Amino acid sequence: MTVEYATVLDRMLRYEKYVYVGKEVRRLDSLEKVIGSAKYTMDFYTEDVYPLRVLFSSKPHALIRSIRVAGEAEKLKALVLTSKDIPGENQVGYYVPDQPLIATNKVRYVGEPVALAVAPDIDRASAAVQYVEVDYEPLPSITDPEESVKSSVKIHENGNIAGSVKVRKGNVEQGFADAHVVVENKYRTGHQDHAYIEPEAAICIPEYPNKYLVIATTQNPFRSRDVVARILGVSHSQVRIVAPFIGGGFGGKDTMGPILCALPALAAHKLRKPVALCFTREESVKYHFKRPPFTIRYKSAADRRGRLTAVEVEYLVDTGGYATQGVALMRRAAFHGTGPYEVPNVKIDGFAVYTNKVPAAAFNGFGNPEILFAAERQMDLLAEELDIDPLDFRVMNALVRGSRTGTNQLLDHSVGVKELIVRVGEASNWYVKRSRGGRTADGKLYGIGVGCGWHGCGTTGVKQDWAGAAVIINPDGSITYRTGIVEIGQGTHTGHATIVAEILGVPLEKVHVETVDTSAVPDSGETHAQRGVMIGGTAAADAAIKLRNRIVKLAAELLECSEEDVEIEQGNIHVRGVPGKSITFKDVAKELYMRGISPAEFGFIKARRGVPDPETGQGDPYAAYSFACCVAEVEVDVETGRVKVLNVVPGLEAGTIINRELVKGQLYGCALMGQGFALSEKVVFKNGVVKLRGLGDYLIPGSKDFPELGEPVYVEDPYRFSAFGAKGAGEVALSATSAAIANAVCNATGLKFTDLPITYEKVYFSIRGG
Amino acid sequence: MKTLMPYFEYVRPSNLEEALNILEKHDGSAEVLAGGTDLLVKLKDKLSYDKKTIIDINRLRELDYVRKADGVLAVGALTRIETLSRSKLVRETAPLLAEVAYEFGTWQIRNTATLGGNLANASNANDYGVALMVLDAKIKLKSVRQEREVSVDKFFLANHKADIRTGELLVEISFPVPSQDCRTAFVKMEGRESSSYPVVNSAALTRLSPSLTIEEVRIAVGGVSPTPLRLRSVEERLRGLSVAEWEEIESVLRDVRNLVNPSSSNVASKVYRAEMSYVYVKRALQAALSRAGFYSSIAGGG
Ligand SMILES: Cc1cc2nc3c(=O)[nH]c(=O)nc-3n(C[C@H](O)[C@H](O)[C@H](O)COP(=O)(O)OP(=O)(O)OC[C@H]3O[C@@H](n4cnc5c(N)ncnc54)[C@H](O)[C@@H]3O)c2cc1C
Repeated sequence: MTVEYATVLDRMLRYEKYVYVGKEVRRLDSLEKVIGSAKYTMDFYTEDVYPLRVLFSSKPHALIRSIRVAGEAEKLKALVLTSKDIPGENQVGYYVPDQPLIATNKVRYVGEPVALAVAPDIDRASAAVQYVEVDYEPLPSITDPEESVKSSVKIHENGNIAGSVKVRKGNVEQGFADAHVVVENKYRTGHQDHAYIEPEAAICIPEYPNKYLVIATTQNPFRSRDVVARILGVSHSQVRIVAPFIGGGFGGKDTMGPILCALPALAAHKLRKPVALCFTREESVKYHFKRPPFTIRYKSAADRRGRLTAVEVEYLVDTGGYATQGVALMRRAAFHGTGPYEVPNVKIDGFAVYTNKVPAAAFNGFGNPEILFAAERQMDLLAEELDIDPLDFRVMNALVRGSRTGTNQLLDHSVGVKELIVRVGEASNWYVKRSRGGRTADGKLYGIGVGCGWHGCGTTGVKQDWAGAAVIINPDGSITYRTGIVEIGQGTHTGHATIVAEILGVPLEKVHVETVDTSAVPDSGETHAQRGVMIGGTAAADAAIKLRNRIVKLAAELLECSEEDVEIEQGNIHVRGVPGKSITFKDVAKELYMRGISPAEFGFIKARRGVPDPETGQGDPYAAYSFACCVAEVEVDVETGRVKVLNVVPGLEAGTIINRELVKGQLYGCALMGQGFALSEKVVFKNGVVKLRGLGDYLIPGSKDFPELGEPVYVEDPYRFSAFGAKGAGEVALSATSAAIANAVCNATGLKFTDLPITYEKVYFSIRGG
Repeated sequence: MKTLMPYFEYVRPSNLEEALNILEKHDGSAEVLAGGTDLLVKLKDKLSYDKKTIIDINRLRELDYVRKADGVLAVGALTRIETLSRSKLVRETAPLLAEVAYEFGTWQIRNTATLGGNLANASNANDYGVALMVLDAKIKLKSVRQEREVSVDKFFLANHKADIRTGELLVEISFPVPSQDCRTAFVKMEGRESSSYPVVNSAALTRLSPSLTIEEVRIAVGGVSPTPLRLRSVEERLRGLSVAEWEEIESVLRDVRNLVNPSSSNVASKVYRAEMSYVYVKRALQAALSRAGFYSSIAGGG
C-alpha cells in the first residue's frame, strides 16, 4: 500500500499556511548542546566500567600462526580475549559475510582487531595488550586496486573482487558514433577521513540473566543490535542499543557502529561487568574505515546541438580488506553515474576490489561525490569542445519531468533540477563572472566553476527500506515521540518533532523526542542515505495521522459537530466558523484515557520501488531523487599553488524544506566538506599503515578557510509520497560542491586536473609543468 | 565528552622555588603543564604514559611578565600568546612578537598557550622559534642547582627536542631591543589556515641605508628542517646588496632550497616544502624591506 502522504496531509490539515513546516524553528537540542549538558556515549562512563583496549593488526596481510598471552597479563588482573572467546558467530560483514569481528587465522589490513584486553583501569588494559604476542606469517600485500584485479595474491578465498554492478541502456556504440564530440579520461579520488569530533565509543552493560544494554555512538542501532546478537549467540530481544547524541558520523559510524558495539559486548559477556571502548584520536584516524578511493575511466559524448548522446564508465572502488559498504556505494555510484542529465545510451560497470588497506566506510554522498566529480569534469570538457557555456550545457541536458534516468527510471514528478541550475546561475551572477575566469591580478588567478549532483533517497538501491516510529499522547496532552533515526548533529529529531506537532496541532515544545532505543520501535534501518526525514519522518507522520483521526473523532463528539469541521491549532480544538465553541487538546487527551481509546500508535512505512534488475541495472533504484547545484569561485596563488575558495552559492531541490535553518546547515557543511574532499583532505599510507597521527596533519578546512557562503537557492518540487513532500537534504550538496570547486580550479589555471584532492602542491607543480 | 586518560599525579606548586624542587625530586619522571595546548593533545593520545607526574605551573605568576631594562626586552616563560599580541611594550619594542601572535592559532589557543610552551615543545615549525632567532634571543633555564642561558639558535636540538635538562624549567626569553630603524616581518604558510603548526614559516629583520643598501639582515625559516633554521650564510651574501639589484637578491634567496632539509608528512612533501622555503623567505624579506622604506613593484608584489 502506498499512501500519498503529502496529499493526504494537505487535505487533512486544510491550512492556508503551516504552523511549523518550512518555518523558522529552533532546533530542539540547541540549548543543551550550547551549555554542554547534552550527553554523548562517554558521558555514561563511570569509574566501575572496565576499559577495553584493542590489539590491532600491525601487518597489512598475514596469516596468524599463534597468539600467546604472556603471564604478566594475569598479574594485571586483565582479561585477554581472542576470536576463540566468541560464543556466537564471528561475522560482522555488512552486506557480504566476509569479515570477522576478531581475526581468526588471517589479517587483511593494518588495524584489524586481533585481540582485546579489559582491565579495571585504562593503564592496566593498555599494559595488557602489550603482553599479547602474535606470531604472523607475512603474505605479499596489495595496495593498488588495479593491480589487485590482476594479482595472483588472493586476499579472500573467492578472489579479489568483492562485488560488481552493471547498468545498460540503449546502445553506447551508436551513441558515440552519432556524437560530434567525445571526451575520455581517467579520474582518481582519494581516501577521506570523517574527522568527527567524537571518536568511536561504546559501553556495554550486561544485565541479568543474559541481556545486554549497549550505549554507543552508532548510526545504525538496529544493525548494531543484530550484530551483537549474532556475536553473542543471543536473540535480538536480548540486546538493546541506546544511541545518545552523536558527535558527528557522516557515515563512518554507520559502517563502524556494529563493530564498536560488538567489541565491548563480547568483553562484557565474558566478564559480566560493564565494559567501555573509546578510541584515541590516533586510533581513530588510523583504523576507522574511510571513504574509499575510486579509479574511474569515463567516456562521454554529445551531438552538435549539445545534447549528450552516450556515457560509458568503468570504475574500481578500493574497498580495502573487506567489502563492508564498499559494495553498496559501488551500486549507488552506478545508478547516478550519468549525473542528473538525460542520456539515451548508457553503459556503466563498477567493481569493488579488495586491497590490504583500511576498509571502505559509508561517507556523505556514498559513491556519488567520486563518480560525479568525473561526470562533472566531463561536462565541462564537453562544453569546452562544443564552445558552449558549461552552465548552459547543463541546463540543456538536465533531467525534467518525464525524463528517464540511466537506469531507465521514469521521473514523473519532483524533478526540479533544471530550474535549480538556472536560478543558481542567476544568484551567482554566473555569466559576468565566468568571463573573468583565468585572469590574473597580483599573482593570483581567478576561476569560477559549476557542479551538479543528485542523490536517490533511501537504501532501495541495495535493499528494501522501511522505518518505524511511535507516538504516545500523554494524559496531560504532551507527546512522547520515539524514532529509530539517530541524532548525529543533522537535526532530524527536530524535523520529526515538527512533523508530529504540525499533524497533531500541538505546540512544538509539547513534543519530546526520546533517546533512540532499539527496544522502543521496530527496526527502522540506518541513519544514512538521506532517509531520516523522507522515510523516518514519514513513519512519524503515519503514527501521527492515526492519532489525529482519533482525536478529531472524539472532539467532534464532544463539540457536537461534524468531523470535517474540527480544527486543531496550537493545542486548541475548535469548530470551524463557530467562534467560542472549543475545547483544549489536553482535555481531549484525558478523555481518550477515560474512554479507553488507545492514546498511542506505531507508525511504519516502507519505501516505494526497489532494487533494479541485476543483469541490466534497469529499474527504479530509488523512489525519489534530490538535486543540487553549486557555483564556486576560487583564487589560485601562482607562486605557491595555494587555492583559496572565495565564494560558494549552493542550491537545492529536495522537495518541501521542513526546516530552512537546518537544511542551510547541511548545505554549508557540504560546502566545507566538499572543499576538503576537492582540495586538501588526503590520507597517505606507508606499508599499509595510515600515516596520520591525528587531525593536526589531516587538513579539513578550518574556520579561516571558510569561503563566503551565499544564501541557498531553493527550488521546492514536493514529492507526493512523503510527509509534507520532503525529500532528503543531507548528502546531495556534497557532490555538487566538490565538483564546482574542482571545475573552478581548472577554470582558473587552464589545467585539466583528473585526480582529487587537488592539493596546493599539485597545483604548484602542475602550473610549472611537472 | 569524557575520554579515557592514563593515570598520573597532578601537582600545582604556587611559586618558582617549589616548582623547581618538585622537578628536581621527580628526576625526569615529571612533565610541566603550562597552557596545555600541546601537552593535552599528547596525553589524550598516549594511553600508556611514561611520565608519572604533571606539574602545573600556572600559579607561577612570577613567570608571566614583559619587561624592558637596559635595552633588553625580557618575557616570562608563562606569558600567554594573547598577552604578546596586546602588550604595548611589545608593540613598541618588538612588533614582530605581536605579528606572530596575530597569526597564531585561534583565540582560544592564544588565551592559553604560552611562549615558554611553544619553545619547550620544540616543534620544528613552532612560530616563535624563527621570530626569536632574528631577534638574537636568549633563553634562560633554571634548576635548583643552577641557572643558564642558551642562544635560541642552539636551543632546538631536533624536532620536538630542546636543550632542557632534567630538573630545568624554562623561565625567561630575552633579547636586545632592535634599533629604531630596523624592520621585521613574519609570514607563514599553513596547510589549513588557523589551527595547526604551519608548513613553512619565516621571519626577517632588516635595516636599509638611505641609499637602500642592506645594512643589516637576519632571516630564519621553520618547518623545513629538524629545527627552525637561522640562515646566516644567506644573510652574509645579502649584506651590502642594494635592493635595486633585486635579481641578485632573488638568486641568493633561491639557494635557501639547498640549505634546508625537510621531511615529508601527510600535509606536504619534502620537495614542496623546499620550494616553499624559498617563497616564504622571500616573502618575509620583501615584507620587512617594504616596511624599511623600500616600495617597489618587485619587492611589494607577489
Ligand atoms: C588548535 C591549535 C592551534 C595551534 N596553532 C599554533 C600556531 O599557529 N603556531 C604555533 O607555533 N603553535 C601552535 N599550536 C601549538 C601550541 O599551541 C603552541 O606550541 C603553544 O605555545 C604551546 O604552549 P603551551 O603553554 O600550551 O604548552 P604546553 O602544552 O603546556 O606544553 C608544551 C610542552 O612544553 C613543556 N613546557 C611548557 N612550559 C615549559 C617551561 N616553562 N619549562 C619547561 N618545559 C615547559 C611541557 O612540559 C610540554 O612538554 C597550536 C595548537 C593547537 C591545539
